[in-house]
Amino acid sequence: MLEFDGLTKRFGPVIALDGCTFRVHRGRITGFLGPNGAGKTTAMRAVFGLVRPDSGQVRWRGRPVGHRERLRFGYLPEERGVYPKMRVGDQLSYFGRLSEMSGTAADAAADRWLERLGLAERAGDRVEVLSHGNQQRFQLSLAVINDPELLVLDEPFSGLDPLAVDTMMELLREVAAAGAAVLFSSHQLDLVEDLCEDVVIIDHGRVVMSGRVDELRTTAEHRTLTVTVRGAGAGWLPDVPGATVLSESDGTVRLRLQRDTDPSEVIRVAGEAGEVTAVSYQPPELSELFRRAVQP
Amino acid sequence: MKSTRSVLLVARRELIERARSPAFIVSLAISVLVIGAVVVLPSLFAEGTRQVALIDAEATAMEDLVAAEADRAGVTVEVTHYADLAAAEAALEAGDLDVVVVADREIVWSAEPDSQLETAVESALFMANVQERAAELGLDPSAAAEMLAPADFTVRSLESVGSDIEARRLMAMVAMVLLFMAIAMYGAFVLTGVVEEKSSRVVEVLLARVTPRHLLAGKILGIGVLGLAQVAAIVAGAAVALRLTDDGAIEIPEISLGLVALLLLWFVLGFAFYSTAYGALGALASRTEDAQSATGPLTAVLIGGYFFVFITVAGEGSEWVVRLATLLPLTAPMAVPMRAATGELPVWEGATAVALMLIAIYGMIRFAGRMYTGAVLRTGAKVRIREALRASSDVE
Repeated sequence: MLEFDGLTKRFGPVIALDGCTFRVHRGRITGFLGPNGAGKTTAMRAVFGLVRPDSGQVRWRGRPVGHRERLRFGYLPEERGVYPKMRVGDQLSYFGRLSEMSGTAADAAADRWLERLGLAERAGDRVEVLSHGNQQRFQLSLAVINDPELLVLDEPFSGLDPLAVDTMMELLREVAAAGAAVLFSSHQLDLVEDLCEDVVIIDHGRVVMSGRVDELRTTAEHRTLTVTVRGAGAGWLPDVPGATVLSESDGTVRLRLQRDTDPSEVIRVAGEAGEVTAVSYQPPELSELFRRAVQP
Repeated sequence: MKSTRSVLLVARRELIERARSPAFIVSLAISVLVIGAVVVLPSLFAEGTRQVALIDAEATAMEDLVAAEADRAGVTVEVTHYADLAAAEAALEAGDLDVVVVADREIVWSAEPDSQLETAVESALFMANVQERAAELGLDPSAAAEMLAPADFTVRSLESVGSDIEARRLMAMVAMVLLFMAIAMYGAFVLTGVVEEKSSRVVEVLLARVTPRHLLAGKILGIGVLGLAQVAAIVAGAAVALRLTDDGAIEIPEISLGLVALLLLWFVLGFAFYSTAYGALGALASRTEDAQSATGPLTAVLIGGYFFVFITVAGEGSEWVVRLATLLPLTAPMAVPMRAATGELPVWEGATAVALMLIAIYGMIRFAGRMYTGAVLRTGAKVRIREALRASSDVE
């Protein structure tokens, strides 16, 4: 388990982290959300010693993270980088060696990952001649060459086409299934909802919400009710205490209800106004939780 | 991981990737060829036997005089007799002759006189004249010859000078230029290496696995080994070329093993000092364009040091200025080998220079390590030195 414990970091007048505390569990994928400038990158960099917190600590399996621990981690930074002129196989193996693997183990791991990512025939090419998509896959291979116990990825989905997104999701699931802890940041909330068991939402350097995605949704204080009514005139909607209209178009109305508000009252009124063709009553989507959590 | 292993891994990568690059292979080949050519060419073009033509002279007497004087002047001549001045001049113009001597009257050159040969033929003409006048005055030819025999005296200098002092000076100059070029060139390799890692953003991936200090140290070590190999190859190439062309025609000082070792030592010292500084300053820039302005002052110091050494040590510097250039770490890598090559470096000065250099390198590594650490992850605008030093505590 990776623990962020009260991380604080200030860059001059800017407070990047302000008592940031959360956990990332092994064998699970954790989505790390927050608006731009919330402190996600700073927190991730702190895991790798690229940022030294003013106070607080990052711990792995209960022990402060140091150079030795980091060699068993994998990191995909937001600013992607490779040696463009170095050969694919050599470069991957080099990063393996830097992670304390022996020369033969690193070479073997490089072959295995290139095979896994469909780059085996390109091992002797310089990285700069690879296509954009292949460069992205190669970049990812650098992060996992040492079969990390903890994989941290900063915006891994940005700039990927839908096929590459699928490959990435598959790979993250695979790595987590092998027992690694996976933490990644993203703005694509639908992806996070699909992929993650856990989510952490950070704003102004503090964690404003964290936990299992399904629990966060079901324990939310409100529900979303969507009713589609045919043949109802405008303004059919009665005032129901505890319900707020989120949107209304083409006879479809989305409302936010307090958790203890009975939705049947709304549905009854709708049935009187016209023919009800569809109803859905659900806990809020992750995107809605996110918006409410980071609202000023 | 043991810190030495990561340093060595980084060094190994630098060495292999650079040694593989076509640019490096071409530059190594060119530098060895150039050095070889510089050594070999002069002896190829060195003139051997000079051709002297004599017109209507009392043949043998004049020929003997020319031969004797040429011998004294240290040139070998072959004398040919021409009956006709016009024919001799045509041969002179065609380059078949070096000089035409019209007995006791005239010396004809094709253009500029060849100074050694000029001495010989002028002396010969003078001797011929003197002998003629002695005969007119009724002097016995043998008495005249005795009177004109070269004086017997010895020459000595108060300071010991090798017979090859000029050649040694030349070699010292070459040594200084070689070290200056090697330090500047390999320092620039370190600089571009640092900037490339920053501009390609690979540095953040690296620093998740290697500490900044180890990364910089490995880079300097790898490039330094490559530089050392190149300097060694050049020196070896020069030594072989000298051996091959050593036909005794020109005076060549031996390249002693001691001098070679000294050159390599001072390459290591000078490179360690300057390249560390180059690496740290390179970290301030995110793009190659900024790298030039970030390291401009350092390059100015290096070039300034070169000219300072050139003017003072190679030229007419007073004793204390020369000593300053020898002991100052900025100029020592160029001044010390130069003075050692001419054989005028006292041991205590050499030893002190090495000690001071080591202290300077230690200080530079401490300083540069901090600067590099603070600056290498900051992308965007050029980082200021003070900012970098302050930010070094932001990184573990």
